[in-house]
Amino acid sequence: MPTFSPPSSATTTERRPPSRSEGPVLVMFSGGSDSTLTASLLSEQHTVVHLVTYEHSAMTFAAKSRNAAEALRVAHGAERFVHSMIDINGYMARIFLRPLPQDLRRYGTYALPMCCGSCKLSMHVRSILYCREHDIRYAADGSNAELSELFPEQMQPVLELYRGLYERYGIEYTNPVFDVNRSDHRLFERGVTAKRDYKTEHVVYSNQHSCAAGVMLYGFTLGVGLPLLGTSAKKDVATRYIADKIEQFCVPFLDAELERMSA
Amino acid sequence: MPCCGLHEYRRTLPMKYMVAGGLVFWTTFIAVLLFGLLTVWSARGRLLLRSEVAFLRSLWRETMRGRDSIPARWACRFSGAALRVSPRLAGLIYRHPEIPFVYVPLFALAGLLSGLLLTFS
Repeated sequence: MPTFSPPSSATTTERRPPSRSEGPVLVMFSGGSDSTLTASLLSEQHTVVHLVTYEHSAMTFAAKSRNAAEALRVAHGAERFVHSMIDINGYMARIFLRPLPQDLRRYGTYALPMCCGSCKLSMHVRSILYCREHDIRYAADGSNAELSELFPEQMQPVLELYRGLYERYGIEYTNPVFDVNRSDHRLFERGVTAKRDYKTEHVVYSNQHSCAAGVMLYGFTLGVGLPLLGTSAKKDVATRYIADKIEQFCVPFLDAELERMSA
Repeated sequence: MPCCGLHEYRRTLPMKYMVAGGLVFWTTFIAVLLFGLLTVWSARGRLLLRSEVAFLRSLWRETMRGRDSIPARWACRFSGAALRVSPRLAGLIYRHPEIPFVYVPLFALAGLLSGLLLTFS
């Protein structure tokens, strides 16, 4: 089994998870190199890693994540991983789609690319429920600095809001590969993958889903944000949007669901 | 951002990327508009149409009334140039970027078409 090795270069730094081997951990798992590396690292700290792949209508090929899950099982042992796929269409409808006209008035045009932020928030809400259903106290994902300039769900202030939401429900949320420069290289070095450069793939990937909404985010940035609005992303709007959604939807919904579960 | 290469172009993004992005975005926008019109009797169709209207309103407000938008920045430059001709015109252009960016091109196009029609009819 590969060991937890130190970073291979100055630009590649993993946030070493706290040393513990106390129970299971949930990893939001797309099957891409960042979430696969997250799962690979955490498998050395936790007894079982619950790989949860989320899917909604705009995603295609979500089942490709099984390839990456299989690679993890081969590298670290089949008994260390539980893989499940969960639909989040209902959450997306309530957080993003139904309030979209009001959100466009309230937050401006950036409410449209916040589809990606809403998608991730839906995943977090479902993950909190999953953690409580399975008595899991730790959750992580493959959020990475490389994409934090463009994708609202990976911006640092937004990640802090997610962390606060997990804390509220007694769960510790971490981003172990946030500062890792090339997670695909690290996976190759750890013996998880046979291919070194699969992070250079575009739109259609070997191990993870493709998302029409993600393509639209690029379309918005390149076709509206940069040529008309003069900006590629609005971090302040993203933060305000997520904070409002947490207060207005996530907390009341989770409180009600958890109360229903405990009754 | 190795997955898209945008990080290499933070200052000078090639025009072909903007054109491609614009094509993807506005083609989808028109497709959603048509879908919304075809399913206008359903709640989903009306939701899509309301969203598109709200998006266009926000876009107009942000481009024509926002201080940092590209049309606003150019209108600022144009108003500086217009100051020599007429301070009143310069003020008008500064406050309303839609004059040089929407109305003038539209009037010019209408004038050109009218001229062509009159010439060849």
